[in-house]
Amino acid sequence: MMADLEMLRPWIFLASGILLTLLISVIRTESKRPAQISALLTVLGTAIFSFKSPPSEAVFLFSGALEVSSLSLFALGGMSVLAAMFILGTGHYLTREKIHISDYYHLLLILVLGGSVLVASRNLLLSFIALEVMSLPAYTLVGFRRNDSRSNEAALKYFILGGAMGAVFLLGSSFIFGATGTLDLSAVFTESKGGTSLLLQLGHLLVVLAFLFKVAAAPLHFWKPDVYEGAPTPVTGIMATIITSASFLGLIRLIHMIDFSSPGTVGYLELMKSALRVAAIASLVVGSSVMITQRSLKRMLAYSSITHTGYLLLGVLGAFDEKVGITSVLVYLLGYCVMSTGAFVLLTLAKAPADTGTELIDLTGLIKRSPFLTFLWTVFFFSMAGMPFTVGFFTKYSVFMASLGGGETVLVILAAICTVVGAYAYLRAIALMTMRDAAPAAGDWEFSPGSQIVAIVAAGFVLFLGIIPNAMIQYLKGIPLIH
Amino acid sequence: MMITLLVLLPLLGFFLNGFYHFSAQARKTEPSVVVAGVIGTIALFAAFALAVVAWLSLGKSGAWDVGIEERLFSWMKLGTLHVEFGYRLDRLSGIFTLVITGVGSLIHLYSIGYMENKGSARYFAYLNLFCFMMLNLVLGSSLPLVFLGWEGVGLASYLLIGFWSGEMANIMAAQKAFLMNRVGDLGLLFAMFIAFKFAGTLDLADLSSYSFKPEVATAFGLLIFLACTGKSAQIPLFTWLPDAMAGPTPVSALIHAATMVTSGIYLLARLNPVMGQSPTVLFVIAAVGAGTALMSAITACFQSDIKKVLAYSTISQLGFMFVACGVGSPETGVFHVMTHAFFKALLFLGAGSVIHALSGTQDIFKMGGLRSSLPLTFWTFTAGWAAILGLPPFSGFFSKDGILHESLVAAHGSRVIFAVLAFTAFLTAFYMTRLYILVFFGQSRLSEGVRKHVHESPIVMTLPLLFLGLAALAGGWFGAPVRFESGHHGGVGEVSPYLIMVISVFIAAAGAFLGYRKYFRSNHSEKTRDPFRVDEIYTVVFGRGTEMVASFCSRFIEEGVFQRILQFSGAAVDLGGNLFKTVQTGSAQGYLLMMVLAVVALVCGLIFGVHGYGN
Repeated sequence: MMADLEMLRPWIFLASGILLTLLISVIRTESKRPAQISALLTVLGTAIFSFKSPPSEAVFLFSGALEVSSLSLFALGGMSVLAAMFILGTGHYLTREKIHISDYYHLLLILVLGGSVLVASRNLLLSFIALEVMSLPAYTLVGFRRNDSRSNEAALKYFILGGAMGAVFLLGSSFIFGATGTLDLSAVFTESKGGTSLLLQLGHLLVVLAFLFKVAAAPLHFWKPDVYEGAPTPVTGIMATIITSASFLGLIRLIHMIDFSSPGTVGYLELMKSALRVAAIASLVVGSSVMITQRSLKRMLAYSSITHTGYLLLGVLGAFDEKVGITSVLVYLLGYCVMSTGAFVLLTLAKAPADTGTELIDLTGLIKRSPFLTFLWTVFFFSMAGMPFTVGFFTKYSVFMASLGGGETVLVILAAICTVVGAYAYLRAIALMTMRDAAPAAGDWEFSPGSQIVAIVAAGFVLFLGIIPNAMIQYLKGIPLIH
Repeated sequence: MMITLLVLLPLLGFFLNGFYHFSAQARKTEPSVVVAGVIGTIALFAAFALAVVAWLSLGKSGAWDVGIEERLFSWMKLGTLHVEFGYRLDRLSGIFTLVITGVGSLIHLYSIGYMENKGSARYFAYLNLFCFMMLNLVLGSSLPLVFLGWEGVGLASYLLIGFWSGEMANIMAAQKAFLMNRVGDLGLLFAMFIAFKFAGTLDLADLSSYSFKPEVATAFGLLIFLACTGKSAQIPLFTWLPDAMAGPTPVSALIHAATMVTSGIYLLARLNPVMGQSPTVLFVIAAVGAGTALMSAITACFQSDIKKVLAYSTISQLGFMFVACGVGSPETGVFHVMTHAFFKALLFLGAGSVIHALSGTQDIFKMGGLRSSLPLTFWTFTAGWAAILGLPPFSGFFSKDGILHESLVAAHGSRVIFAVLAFTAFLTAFYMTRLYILVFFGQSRLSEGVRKHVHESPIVMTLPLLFLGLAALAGGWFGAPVRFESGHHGGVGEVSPYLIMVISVFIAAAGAFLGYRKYFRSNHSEKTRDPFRVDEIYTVVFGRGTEMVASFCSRFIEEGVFQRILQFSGAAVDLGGNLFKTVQTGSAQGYLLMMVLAVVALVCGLIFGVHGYGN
């Protein structure tokens, strides 16, 4: 038992940090600084604990419900680092919007805990609890701008839809339980070896569908632009990075709950692949083409992230091939999180008019006001467009390779065409920024050392991983998905 | 480590000038064009010196085809894919390296006179960055490194076309170039996938000795060719090049005439053994090359902007080089790359000198009689004019005549292609003479204000003109002997090279004479037009096309279909007692309905499709 607790050290540290931060926020209600520092130290400590000693072998705790492995520790560590970047980089935004209260921080930490357990969970019930632990703080955080009707509406929409999604997930789980008599993923996997019953497949399909909704794959993406736009910008960033990563890793784990290598599942495998293909194509086409028509920067980034979901689904399709595995998805998630963190942190610097939010047109002539901000934006936009020398190129390259390995040639060609369409949208933003002689737009940009540092670090990683990706690829290759 | 050093020198220049730019900005002063220019020029000239040394040592070792290789580190290891980051200098990459660094340093020098202080450090930083990327492109030992350079030169070109980014037109031109190149780049990306999947390697040396299955070779070759049409401005992706003239003139000379646009020829020559495995690919290359050469030569006859004429002429000359690759004689194509780099850079820099002297005038019908006021520019321009016409003993004579000859006698040559090229050569002589005469001869048609300020350019600008003039004169002599020993004859059988020479000189003289007759006396203004209206067609087909898809998705799917579902669900919910009334737009119900529909569709798929109930 002691040894088990030893393995759980990162999670225990995080949980203790949450309690401490909660306590501080109750005691020191008038100042948010102590809670901020406590939260920052918590996530940094968690990250150190998770990266310090990855186990050589995966260990299953609590009768196999929780997996402590290189994958789950990497996810926890990564999410902690992302949370640290957002804590460090977006305090000024919360202050400006007058929503800087200490409750923000423990909610954020709870979200990280939920997300990391979702990745580590090997039991459907635990997965559901983790999902809710991740989502409930998110609903609250989305509605943090209490005086803004869009924020309220977004929170409510997100809540209602998230609740419905949870119901679908539970329905699926109960079908699976009915078919196999267990909620343990390993047991279900063994059960499905000799071919699967309709009930099991039905349950599995519902569970996967719930997660496709969570990652906002088209045609289940409609909530995303509304919620992204309504939420406070740092929360949008957290959703785009931490929640997306957790949901995608959860999705992969749940898809592979069934043993697709057994001959009895051939027909079902085809159906599953077709569903993912349809979702990928729809996400790519809708995301990249609607992105062009957006005026609001935040909505543009929302559609951009729908496109990224499409690319990630390419990697998920490639992961059906045992040899390719989930490396490409991990590579994509890592690169995507780094560049999105940078972009959203930069977006918090824009002092937008309250009614419209920051529009694309507000970027006009930014280079005259701040060449440095322009450079950072350009790095992130180029990376999202998949230009070489940025990490965005290798992420796209690796998912393309993976899904070609899985035989998805047509899909990859389509995705490649979408990169050109998407590139136009990002390029337009860059062109607006670099217009030297145009009168700079009225919107003002705040200066904040914390967010500058975070954005510089993110841009540094985008460029470094774009030029020398090998270390990253080798590291992520060592992280397998355990059935 | 000589080759690595030679590649890194321009990168150093890029960093130094970038630092200079930011430090000047911090002090709120303008950087000095002389300082920035000297940094940039020295970086490139040192690279040129190293390139010469490396070339000589390559000659000494005699390993012309194997080359000297410098491996730096292991770049990517993914599955069975293993890519080394390294450079390789052999005959082909050596010629390109010498041209890039040699012509490049002259153009850097010229820019010191051409540019003004404002933004100069940024300009030279970009120019150095371009050279660094271009060297990666030609020296990279593997396809991914070539691809990196390929994208990098696109980026540098984007930055430089939009350098004077005050005007919307320049930004649009930069964007157009970038996007068109992205389309081509997809070809290269997919070619890499194919190469890896079938040959299992991305190393260029291994790849060019690999024999693919015929249909794979065709697919690979066509994809590579698609990439080349983008970068080298061939049909269908050529309309960006004339617009790219929005950039500063030295940029047009370096990037859009001498180096970047020839990278397509480099790639085709490099992968020639693979290209040769598929006759279809070779045919497409030759046909597209000949078609582009003819089409843009015709268009050039209707232009009145001095730089646009030269831009269409570049496209046309690139078409000649593609034909050389397509008929199976890439070495003549590469020879023409070299001579073309000399004379076209010379023509562009000469045009720049004219534009500089006339305070920015670019319309050739507003020039005239500049022979006496710009003597040095005139004489060097004459050398460029004679070279592009192919008059002996100028460099263009040897290379262009070589391509004409090969288009007839090389393994895949044919009479039709020869005829097209010969007619194009005639047109080339015509429109170049038209340009030459309208600018330098006849009555002066300058406006009063401009006339007062006409002056010959400073020495930093005329010196590169002189060097390039010499190269345009003598650059072809080294390659001349190579011409007569090519042995792989097929096509239409033996044709004496001397006969072709006589024909080609006759054609050039005829074209020049016609140009002289038409424009020497009468010089009333002509309107610029594009006889093929390609740009407009593209705008309609692709521009509107994309717009339509986008508006379809946003209006129809996101709003239209969706609004209808909303109304429906709104009505349904009203019946059910306004359950979700708090949600203002009511769209949450619609979202839920979408989810239900997706569930129903998939469950139906499962029950009827997979399990076959109901059949």
